This record gives sequence, C-alpha cells and structure tokens, in this order.
Amino acid sequence: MTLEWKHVTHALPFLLEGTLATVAVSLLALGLGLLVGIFVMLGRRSRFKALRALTVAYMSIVRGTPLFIQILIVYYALPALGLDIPRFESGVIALSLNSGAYISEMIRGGLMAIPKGQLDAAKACGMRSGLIWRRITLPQVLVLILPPLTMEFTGLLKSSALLSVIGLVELTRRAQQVIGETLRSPEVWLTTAALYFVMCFALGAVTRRLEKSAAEYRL
Amino acid sequence: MMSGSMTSTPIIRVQNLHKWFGEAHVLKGIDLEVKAGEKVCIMGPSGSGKSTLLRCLNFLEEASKGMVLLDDHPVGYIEEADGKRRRDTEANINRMRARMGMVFQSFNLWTHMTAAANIMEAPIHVGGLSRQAAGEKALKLLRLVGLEDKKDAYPARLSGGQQQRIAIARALAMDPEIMLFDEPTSALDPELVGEVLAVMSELARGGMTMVVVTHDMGFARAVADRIVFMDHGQVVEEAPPSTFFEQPKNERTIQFLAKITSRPF
Amino acid sequence: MDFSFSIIVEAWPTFEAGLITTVIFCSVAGVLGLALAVPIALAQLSRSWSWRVPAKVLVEIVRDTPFLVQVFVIYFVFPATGWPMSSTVAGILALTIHGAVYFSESIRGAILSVPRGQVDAARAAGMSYPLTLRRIVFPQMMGYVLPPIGNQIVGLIKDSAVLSIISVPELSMAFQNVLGTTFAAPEAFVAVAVLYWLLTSAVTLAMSRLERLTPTHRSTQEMTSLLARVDR
Repeated sequence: MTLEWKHVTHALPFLLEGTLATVAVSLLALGLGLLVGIFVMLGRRSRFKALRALTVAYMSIVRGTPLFIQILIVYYALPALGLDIPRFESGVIALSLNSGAYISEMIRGGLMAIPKGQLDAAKACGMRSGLIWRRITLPQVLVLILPPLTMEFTGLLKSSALLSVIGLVELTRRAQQVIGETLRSPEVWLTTAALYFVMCFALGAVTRRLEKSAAEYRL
Repeated sequence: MMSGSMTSTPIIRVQNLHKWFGEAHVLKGIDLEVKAGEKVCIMGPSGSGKSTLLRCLNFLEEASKGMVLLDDHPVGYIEEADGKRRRDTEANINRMRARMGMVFQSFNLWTHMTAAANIMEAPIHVGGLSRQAAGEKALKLLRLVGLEDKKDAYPARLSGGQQQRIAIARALAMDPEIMLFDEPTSALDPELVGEVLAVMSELARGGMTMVVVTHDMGFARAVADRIVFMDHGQVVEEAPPSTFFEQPKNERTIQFLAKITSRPF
Repeated sequence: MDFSFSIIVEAWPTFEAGLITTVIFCSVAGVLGLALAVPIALAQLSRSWSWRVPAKVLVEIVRDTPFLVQVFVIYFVFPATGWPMSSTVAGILALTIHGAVYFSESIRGAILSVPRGQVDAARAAGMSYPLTLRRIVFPQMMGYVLPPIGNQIVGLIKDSAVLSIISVPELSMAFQNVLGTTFAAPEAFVAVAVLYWLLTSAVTLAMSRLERLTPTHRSTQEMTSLLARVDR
C-alpha cells in the first residue's frame, strides 16, 4: 500500500492551526513553570524544615512519576477538589508543575555557576547584599538559565502532545481529527511528526546559539 | 593617594586575632599594626593563615576571637557598655569595607560588565556618584593602570595581567585608605606578573598604605617597609626587608627562606 | 478526607498486572536500547560521513519529536507499508528506539570525556582503534556514563506510561481502568504515583550502587555539567 499525500495537503492549514495551541500552552506553562521554579528554590533554602521537606518531596514526586500520570491526576483531581477548570488551563497547570521542578534545578545551577570570588569582590567594595543580588548575581543568572529554559520550552512543545488525551485541541488532537475524516493515519502522523520536528529543530538551533553567547562572557 | 592621618597612629590594628574553621585553629592570636603610608608584606608557607588574616581585615572572614580596628574603630563589631560585643549593622560593615580596597588572587572581575563598568559600579551604587562623575574617574584610573583603550572590553577578552590591573583600578575607585592584596600575582603567567607589580610599585610610591600577601620576594624586597612572616597561624618574625632576608632570626624563617631561595644560611 | 485502603486492595490485581507489564516492557526496551545505543554512538564519532550522517539524522529526528507521535508513527505507518504491527511490538519498538537515541548521547558524551591523551598513548604504542576502544576507552568511560544512563532509564520508565494510549496493558492503563471503576477515587492517584515512584527510586538506587563500583566515580551534577559541554 502506497502513501498518498494529497489528502493530507488539504488538511495542512488545519494542522498548522493546531500548532498555535501547542505553542500557546507551552509558552504559558514555561512562564508559570518559571514562577513555580522560583518558589521551589526559595522553599529549598527556607529556614523552616517543614517547607524544605515539602519542596524536596514535591521534586522527588514530580521527577519520579510520569508526566502523563501527572496530567491525568491534575485533570481528574481538580474537579474532585471542587475546582472546575477547563482543559487548556488544566494542561497548563500540569505542565508547569512538572517544569517547575526542573526549572528550579536550572536556577540552582545558574546560581552555583557564578564564581564566589565575584561576590567577595562586591562585598569588599562595600556593596550590600540587596545590591549584590540586583547588580551582580541576577543579571548573570538570567543569562545562564536562558539556554536550559529554551530547552525546557522545546520539551514542553513535545509534552503538549500528551494533552490530546484530555481532549485539548492542539496539534496531535487535530491530527487525530484529520485521521477521523480522511482515514489516512500513516500520512497524517508522518506529517505531524514533521511539523513537530521543524519547531523543535529550529528551537534547538536557537538554544545552541544562546549557549554560545552565554559562554562568551564566562572566563 | 594617602588619606589617613599623618600621625603615627596605626590605621589598622589587629589584636589577639583567633580563627577556627571547624576543628582547625587557623589564626592563633595575631597581633599586628599597620601605620598610614606603610607597606607591609605578609609571607609564609601555604596554610599559614595569611589569606585568612587579610580577609579578616575587611570582615570577609569573621574572626572567632580578637579584634580588628580601623582607625581605632572595631571592624564588624560594636562594643557594648558591659564589654560584650555584638555584630555591627550591615550598613556600618559595608561602610568600613568601602574604606579598604581589596585585590584578589583570581581577580574576580564581574564578567557581565565591561572594564569601565566594573570600576564604576561601586562608586555609583555605594559611593553615590553620578554616572558622569564615575565615568570620568574610571577613565582616570584606567589611564593610571595603562588600560585606557580597554575600557569597553569584557573580562573574558582580557589577559590575566590586564584583568588584575583593572581589578586594582576597581579597588582604587572608592578612594580607599588602605589597599589589601591577596596574592595578586600568584595566578598569573610569569610574563604578565611584571605589569601588575609595576602598577603596585607605582601605587606604593604614591604613598598608599598597603598590606600585601605575596610569594614574590623581589617585590617584597623592593617595596615593603616591613615583612611579616607567618607560619601555622602565628606571626613568627617581623622585620624590614634587609634584615628579614639577610639576617633572619627565627629557625622557621630560615627554613622557609632556604626553601624559596635555595640559598643556604 | 478519609483514605480508604480497601479501594487500593480491591484494585491491587489490576495494578499488579499493569506493573508487571511495565517492568517487562521497560526491561526489554532498556536492554535492546542499550545494545542499539552503542553502534549509534560510535557511528556519530566515526570518521566517515556515511556512518555519521544517518546516525545524526536518526538522533535528531527522535529528539525533536514527541514520544507519543513516535509511537503513533510506528504503530500506524508500518502496517500501511506491509509490516503488521501489534501494540506490544509497536510499544517495545518505540521505547527501544527512543531509549537507544538518548542512551547513545550519554555514551557519546562519556567517550568524549575520556582524556584524549589516553587514546594518544594507546595509538602511539601501536594499538588499533578497536583495541584502544575495548581496552582503554570503554573501561574508563564506565564511571562517566552511569549517572546519565541511570537518569535515562528512569525517563524510559516514565515514557512507558504513554504506551497506554495504544492500549498496551501497562501500569498507567491499569490506573485509567481503576479510575473508571472507582469513579476517580483519590486513593487511585496516590497508589499509581507511589508505584511509579517506587519503581524509579529503585532504579536510581541501583544505579548509585553500581556507580560506586566504578573506578572513575563522578556525581550526577559533575556529569551534567560535563555533558553540557558535549556538542549536540
């Protein structure tokens, strides 16, 4: 049986529209994940043992269980808690809770990558800690976490495909809809894979560029 | 430039300084005085506590016991009426630090800023200078260390010697009363050491009070008013360079000098 | 909120069956994937581009597409071109290829982490490239390779949950069944999370035991930063 592409080319615009939802959900999850990551980082360094234990537990659970399960849990658990949240938001929440754990590690890595000597030099000049944070640490951390953040965004674009299972209409779900109409699953899946590939490959190139730029400043 | 009192009151006084890192007793009761305009070189084998002592002077390390006095004011602590002491406010500590300039073995330039920005940073944000005034000052200091043309360069593009000279300019930017150097040339390739020592000698000639932890005997001989030899956390011997190098008194000093000069005494 | 263990006890047979399937799938795919990863890694390091290019293309395609879509492609494209495909075969094939590509990146990074001088010395002594690999490079790279591989095995286990979508009766399928029969009881959420967590933690623990046996023991943090320097 040969592959016939003409059915799929009709559907291409429809599929491309799906990528909008894919990008939207991933972008929001990244932003929210960044906030979660910051909170988790603060929690890890907190004075309160309970808070530290909670964040460690959270990270262990998030990194030790499948994202797919986390998506299902958020989708089914939120109504049980009385919150009626639409699919898109539920997906964003699940993805950002997942990303947050990994992003907090990126932030931690970025903070550790700044040589302690630079902080010594700042203190020796009489700079107070708020100033040191604002002028020395923060600018460098932001530059350092940009490459891993773009990688995380790429990962989110791929993870968003799982949201098709809870009915969110992004690229993968649209692919399934096209298959429902045309019954040409091989062609549709190959095309869909190609669309994801283009997005992720382009982002990969961006990530590599960012890594190079970040490395230029480092001694 | 000299900006301390012209009398012989010491700018820095260290009294019975002790420091423990966990179990290790790194400073065992150090007493030291540095007068205005003096150049003091601290020498000694690795692990003798010389860097720790220097870092205690500007409170980058907190001493376990004893006192450091800057112009008769305790650094880092306030003495209570009942003789007890408590940690001074962050603001006061920072103010004291700003009166001392420090140059580090690993330069520690802020890599996300240009050379000029490194120099201007503290004057603007700690000294309250305007961007304009700070910029002019930075330019003057860059000229002083011979790197005016590198003002917009990032540290990653500069050689070690250039970075260290910028670091010296940065430390001078706050018009300190005293300059502290922590092994400033130890991390440099041999051919780059000269340019940094030249700047330091120039500084010394201008009258700056300097405390330099160094291995460099040539510099110590040429510039120091006094050599302080430390070993295992104690000051073993103190003398002007001529006496120190030609007629060392203490056995440990003699052994140390023999090792680094391979000259029998 | 009262937590009722009886729900879990009733659902246990379902969970157990799913867990066993997950373990089987992941073990088979893990072993096959590791076996496949070595030639892929070596091909990328090869001097001739007839090996390098196909390998790089495969790696890039697998890394830049969602695992779910890879599963669908394998499940639907092969039958269309004549090869019959059951969900079991498709599942294992997808997991294997996905795993192999990521394992190969770890292996490649570990090989590159062995100091160049070691290879130089071996070649200078007259050792051939295959001999050098076998006697010098592989023994030394073991310490570098275990931490990331451990992470990726955990990743494999987590990815296997996706196979429920093509009706592979593994643990997450069991979970979805139990959701149905217990009307989304919270006990089910906890049970499935705990089961996966135990599985992944067991693997992590086993890997750190293994790491301690290797001569060049490196922490995961060191490895992550070492690998970050590997050119992708």
